[in-house]
Amino acid sequence: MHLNVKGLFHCFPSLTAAIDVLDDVQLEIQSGEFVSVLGPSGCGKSTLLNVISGLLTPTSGHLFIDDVEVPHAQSQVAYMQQKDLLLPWRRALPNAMLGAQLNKANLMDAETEARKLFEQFDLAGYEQHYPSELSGGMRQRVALVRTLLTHRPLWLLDEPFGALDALTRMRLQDWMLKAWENVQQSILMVTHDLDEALVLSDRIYILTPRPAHVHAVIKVSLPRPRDRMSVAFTEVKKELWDVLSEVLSKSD
Amino acid sequence: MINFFRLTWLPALLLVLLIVVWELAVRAWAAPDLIHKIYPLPSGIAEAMWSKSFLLLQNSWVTLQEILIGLSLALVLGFIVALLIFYSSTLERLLYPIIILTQNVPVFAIAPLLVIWMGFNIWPKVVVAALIAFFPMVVNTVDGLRSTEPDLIQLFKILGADRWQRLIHLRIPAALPLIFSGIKIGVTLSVVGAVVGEWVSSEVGIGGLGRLMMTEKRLLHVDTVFAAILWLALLGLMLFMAVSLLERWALRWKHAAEARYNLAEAKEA
Repeated sequence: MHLNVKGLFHCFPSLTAAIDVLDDVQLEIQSGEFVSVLGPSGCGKSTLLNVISGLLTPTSGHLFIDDVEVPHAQSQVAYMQQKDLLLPWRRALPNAMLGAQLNKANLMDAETEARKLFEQFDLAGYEQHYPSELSGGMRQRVALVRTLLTHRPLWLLDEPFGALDALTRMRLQDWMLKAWENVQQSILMVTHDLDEALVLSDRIYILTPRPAHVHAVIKVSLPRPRDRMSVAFTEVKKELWDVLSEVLSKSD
Repeated sequence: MINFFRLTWLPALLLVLLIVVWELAVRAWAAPDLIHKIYPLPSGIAEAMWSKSFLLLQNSWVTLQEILIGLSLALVLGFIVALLIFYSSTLERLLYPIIILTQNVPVFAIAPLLVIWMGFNIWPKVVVAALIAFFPMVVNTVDGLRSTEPDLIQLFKILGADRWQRLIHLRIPAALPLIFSGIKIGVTLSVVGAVVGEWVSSEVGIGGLGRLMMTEKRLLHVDTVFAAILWLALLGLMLFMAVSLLERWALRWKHAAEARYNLAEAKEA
């Protein structure tokens, strides 16, 4: 799915003065592309995701899906955030099947598929565990399976691995890559982890401090899987860091 | 089980000690012809429990029925009213003050009126039991429905869940812990409610434990009065334990992690 965001403005009304959050944001995700958004914290990245997913109506702006203008992309979007958002009263497998159940899909097919995915994501044997019995990394993997099972063509990821420790985070980035390579959905990920953006993305948008504006777009053309320690990787990281420093120095 | 004894032997010992002191004190100081009439003896209460067990059982059954019907009414109506309050702010403004008002009118004041309106049958007692358990049910259910995490609601919206699905699959399960607290408070209160109802309604035949207490008191059978109180306490305790067991089953996901951990520990040992 090809998503095009044009001239997006958003401002939150407040008692004293309106707060401008998004200032003419332009953004494009090609079909099957993995795009990241980097920016200082509080710059409005989550607002951007909320506008695309239809949870928030922007002050002004246009959204195009495959060149057709839409008010929002709600029915096309799957969403993952830092919190795994598993239902504590459901066991792992029914948690992963939540989307299928809510959309009244065939539950037998969904279960077969879910079991296969549990196998693939190293969750076999944990189908009947409650979330409280799983580790943080496993819970986030169940959330990943749930996201896959929605079969939505656009994924919005809001710092999906931000709550995990560094080692678990790296392993989950590999899992995410695996999920993406199988399905080739379009992904928009918000993060403030440089490595994470570089390991996963085709392109990286860098936003300015609030109100957010696209400061630069960096293309990452390293072949996957990317070696976090390689010289080429470090070079791109340096380039990315330079651009980010520019943005950060402006905010001071 | 071992844990249970470790926790209960000390209070049990204290209770036995108190009973012994009570027995001895009454025997030592009370005027002999007032014993069993005004001053109950623990041994006399035990005797009454045995010799009047059929009477006590019959009356307990009546009181239990009143409590169970009253509690069920409170549960169903409380849940419906909580839903109305949760979904409509107009109804909230309309109903909440009235509900709080009913809570502030003492049931003792309403009970005689209920008897006049409904007659000498089971219903005034059922209604008193229901009235008194209704309030904690409504308040806890409303709070429970409001306690859903906003991020989860967002997730459900994005997944395309409608209002009904959000209620069934998200809000109600999330509210269950608080709903169960409401039931536990309600079950204790409804025992009081049923007894109050029985006190104010004089009726021929089996009138429940509260009624039994009144008649036996008039006959100066104070031992039997205490036996009835004991039965009432047992009844309340049993109901509370039943609800707790139901809660443990319904909220088993809460204890899942510790249960699995305990199992692993037991296997190692």
